[in-house]
Amino acid sequence: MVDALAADCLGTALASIAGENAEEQRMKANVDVSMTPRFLFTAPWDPPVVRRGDALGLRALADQFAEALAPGLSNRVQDGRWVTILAWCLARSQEVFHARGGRSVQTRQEQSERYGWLRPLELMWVARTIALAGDWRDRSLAGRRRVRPWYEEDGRSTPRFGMSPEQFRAYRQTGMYGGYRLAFRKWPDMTVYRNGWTPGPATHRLAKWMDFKLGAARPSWPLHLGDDHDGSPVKRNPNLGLGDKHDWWLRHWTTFNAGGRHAEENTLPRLRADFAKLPEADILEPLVFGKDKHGNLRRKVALEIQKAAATDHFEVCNRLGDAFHSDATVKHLPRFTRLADAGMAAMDLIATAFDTKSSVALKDVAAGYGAADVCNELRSASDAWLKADAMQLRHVEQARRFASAITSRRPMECLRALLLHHEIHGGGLRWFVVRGGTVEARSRPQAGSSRYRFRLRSLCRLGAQCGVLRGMPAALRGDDEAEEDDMAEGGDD
Amino acid sequence: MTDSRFKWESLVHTDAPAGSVLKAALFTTYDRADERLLAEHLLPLLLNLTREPDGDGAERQFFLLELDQRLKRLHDKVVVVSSTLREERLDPDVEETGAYGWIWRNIRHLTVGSQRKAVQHAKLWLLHWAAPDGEGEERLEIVVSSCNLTLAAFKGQLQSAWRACLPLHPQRAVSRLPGWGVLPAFLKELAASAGDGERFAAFEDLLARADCPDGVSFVASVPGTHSRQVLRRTPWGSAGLRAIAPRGKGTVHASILSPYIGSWTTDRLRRWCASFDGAPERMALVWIDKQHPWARRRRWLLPKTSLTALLEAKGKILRLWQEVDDPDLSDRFHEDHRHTDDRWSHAKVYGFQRGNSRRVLVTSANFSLAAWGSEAPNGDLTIENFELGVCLDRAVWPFDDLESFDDPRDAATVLQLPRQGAATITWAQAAWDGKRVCVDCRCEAGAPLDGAFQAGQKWISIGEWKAATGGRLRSAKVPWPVAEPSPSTVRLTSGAETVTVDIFDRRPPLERELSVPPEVDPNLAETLRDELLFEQYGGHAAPDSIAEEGEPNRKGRKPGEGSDEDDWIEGIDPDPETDDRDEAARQDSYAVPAFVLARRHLGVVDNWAEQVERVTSRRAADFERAWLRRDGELLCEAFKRQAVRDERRDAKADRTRSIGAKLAAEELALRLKHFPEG
Repeated sequence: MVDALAADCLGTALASIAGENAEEQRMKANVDVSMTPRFLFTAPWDPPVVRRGDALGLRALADQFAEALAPGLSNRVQDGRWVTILAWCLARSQEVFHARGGRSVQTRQEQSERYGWLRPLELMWVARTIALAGDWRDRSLAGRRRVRPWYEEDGRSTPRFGMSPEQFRAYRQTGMYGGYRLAFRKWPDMTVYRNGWTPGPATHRLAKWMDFKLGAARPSWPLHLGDDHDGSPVKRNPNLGLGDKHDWWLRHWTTFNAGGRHAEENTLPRLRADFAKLPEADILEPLVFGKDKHGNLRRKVALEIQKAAATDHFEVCNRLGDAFHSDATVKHLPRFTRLADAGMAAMDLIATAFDTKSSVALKDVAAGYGAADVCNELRSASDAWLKADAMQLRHVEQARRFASAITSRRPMECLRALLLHHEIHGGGLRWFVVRGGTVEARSRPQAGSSRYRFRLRSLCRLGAQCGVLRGMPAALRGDDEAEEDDMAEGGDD
Repeated sequence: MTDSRFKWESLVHTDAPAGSVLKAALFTTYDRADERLLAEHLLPLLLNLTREPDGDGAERQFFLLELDQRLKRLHDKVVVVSSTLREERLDPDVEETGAYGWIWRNIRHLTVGSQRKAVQHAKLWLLHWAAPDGEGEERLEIVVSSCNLTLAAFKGQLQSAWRACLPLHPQRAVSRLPGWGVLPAFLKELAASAGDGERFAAFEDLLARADCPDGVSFVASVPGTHSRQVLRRTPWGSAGLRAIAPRGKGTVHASILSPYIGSWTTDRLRRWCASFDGAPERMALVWIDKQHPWARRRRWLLPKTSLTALLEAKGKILRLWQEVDDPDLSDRFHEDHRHTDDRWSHAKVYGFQRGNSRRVLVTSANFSLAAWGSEAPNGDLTIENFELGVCLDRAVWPFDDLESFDDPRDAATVLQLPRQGAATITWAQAAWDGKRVCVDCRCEAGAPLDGAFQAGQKWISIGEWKAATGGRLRSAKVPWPVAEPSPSTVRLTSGAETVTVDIFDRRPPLERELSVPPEVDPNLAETLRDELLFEQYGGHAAPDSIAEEGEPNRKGRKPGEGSDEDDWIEGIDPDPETDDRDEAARQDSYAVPAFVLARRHLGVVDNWAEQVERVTSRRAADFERAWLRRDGELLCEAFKRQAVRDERRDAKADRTRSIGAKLAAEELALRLKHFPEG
């Protein structure tokens, strides 16, 4: 019989085989603190926020629709400028990784080592934006809550850019590259063998463009000449040692916060509400909206949305459902978005009833303003979903289960069914639960709920930035699902 | 040597050397442990998880599976003990999120009170660490603190703690146990109250393998009425203070920092002080004024009657100052304590001084009779709570600079403390052995009791209870022989009171092995598990994105139909261009695709074999050997499945792709046949 004690030292060796490089292991050990027996008061703990929201358990099905409309994108791929910046970061960090002896990026450990050289650049670019843009709060900057005090108050002296070991480790997922890595894996020629790490021709083109625009902020050695240039620290000292990688970058890219003419226009992430065409659009456009199959589909969908001139998200989905009716997935989009939006409207109705209270009577919510209309629409949307033709969609049972649960228009029954569905089938955290006749608060979203969306905002913003669209379609300008991460990031500023 | 000054650190940390592997853990907490805190923060740290709970693509699915697998390996070795009763009011920030209830299948969650009413208020962590790479000493990490296992306690409260990571001797020695003072006896009492001595034996053994650091003493409370005779042998509660008070002549000065003060009279104060040669007039309480945010939010509670008693007995009340206009003038707990820190102090720290000799006690015990005990005229001491503290010689009391209130009437007080709930159900546990769900609980004799357990979406009523011990102990066994849906929680109801109990999975390992967390798609679980296993043994990093079995793609193709850029396989989307075969197939490569793939798979086998060889060379590694053997079997099956996947993917090609996985499976089968037995 296998016994749990077998975890012993084998796990250690496995951790090291599987992906824990020495730096990560040191980070976990948190060498900042004393190891002798000691008394302590607890320092503030600010853990990485897990932002998963899937109140109705429809996420997987929603992703099916998103994949059918905007493949190779995610909700976090919002700003073409960040693609350019990250391309530069990938190209620059590749030189150092290579000089350090890094070649393969196939195993978890190799990828971890590779990312170790990239992460400092991501964070230094966040710091650069904070240094140069007065309105940096309105730009997408993952990690800014830690980086700002590190840059502005602590004299850049705190380790890990002011992050805790836990936050620093999680940055691989929560950071900018974590959000944009899909672009580097899915778009043509971005990385070699689409491995997401080794810069391909397209990444090199973007990196070269950015390197030129950096001007005074450019590192002392030319891009791609790390091995040959006399001013290159990589050439001077190819044995880079086992020291912290972020220290290395801070010592060798000292001009990271230098401005210059057009620095904001050409080198910083764009404001969230900025939908203007980017100066590097000519390079980006063939990557996002190229002639490859996915690029072509993205272009068609973006243009269709522009043509729709819709006023809201639902209208956009209706138009797409009509235009792509031959697609076995997209043709169901209008019904799905109606059902999901109606469900989330009902969830918001309940959330609003709480105000600052920790519990409310279900009958009070049901008798509240708007409850009858919201429940009426939810029941109608459920009926419409259930009456549709048989669907050959993966995860379709999620929507069927939800729609089947809503059996009444009467607010009491309708809301109770919704709450039970949320508790049993909702993904991630529970907003609230119903106990008897009372709705009890659990983990309500603080910055308002996000609706189920299909990457359409990402797609159209990139379309506008690449010059494929004339501008951002009005229906999607205020659609903030994609900003979820940034909202959470900025919430505590 | 113990450091004498308070440090400023996060509790989400371990002192164990990098690469150490957790073998067992005991956590005690007052509030029910928050699964989200455990699953997203503590366990990933302690179990060295490589995945993050949040991330695009398949990251979360891999995270959930990795956590589940590690917990399965530690099945029944992680124990959490909590209360079912609540003395302090429920913190509104405590969340019940429901996303991670499945962790309790493998973590043993116990509550105290199987014999009599008891409150589990101690906050103890005992972590048993294996040495990195299996070489060197094992370690025992001990944390004694004021911190419950809830997100609110970690994020919103400032806590006090003592942390030590001690080397373990290879063999236990009973002679080491007295060095730990009351701690071994405390564990025994906790085990008895939780009704599960078996679970605690391993942790008592660890104490017998470690030397208690110099200058450290433990002070503990256990519920019950203890006679003088018992207290002489095992000084629980306030009786334990005599042993830790500095020796010498003269009255002992006592200083107290505690957010919750119980109901004290002058007589009770005198008796408490007398237990360590102190006196109320040599006693000082650190407190806050009425305007302090912790008072306004009713975080710190001091009954007006207790303040009056303290002042009448000539005790002092020191002001923990918060200056709103100039925050820099506010009193701080530590030099790194910033005025922007809006947490409230949940720390419980006591200082004792006689002459120049000083001791500091960090404990879970509030300044209340429930914690320290109420002394009867005959000397019996009645204690309600389990409490645990650590006392250090020559430690520095951190609030030496505080001044007395100009006017004690400015001190924040309450007229009455929140009333304790009189719980009917005081203890409960539940387990499932694959055939029956067994529920045991203790409730008031004659009280009505209803129960139901949840399996998937269904709630199954518990029809019949058997009673013992005058009707107070009830037990029920309900048949549940199906694996899916598995039973998760029991809800017990007595009148208006409801208690939720997690069901522990007591099935044999092979039956437990295939269960998956509810959020993981069961159709994908096998493939994801295979990928994780390959990755664990140095194979390719598992891919980011998922495509699932049976999915018609956008053109309605089925697996194997079409082979362009959009090609896909069931299970994991390997991103075709990233794998070796495609790398090898590029024009600039002379590599033979099937060989490249075979080399990759056989590399995994080699890594596994290296581990086997290493383990074989070490003595006393039977458990490791068994675990490796099982991993070998799982790898063998995984390679067979991989071969099938590769074959499907190669439907139109030359079917050479699957050769590598088949070879790896054969190689493993051979090696398993000759697996070295212990």
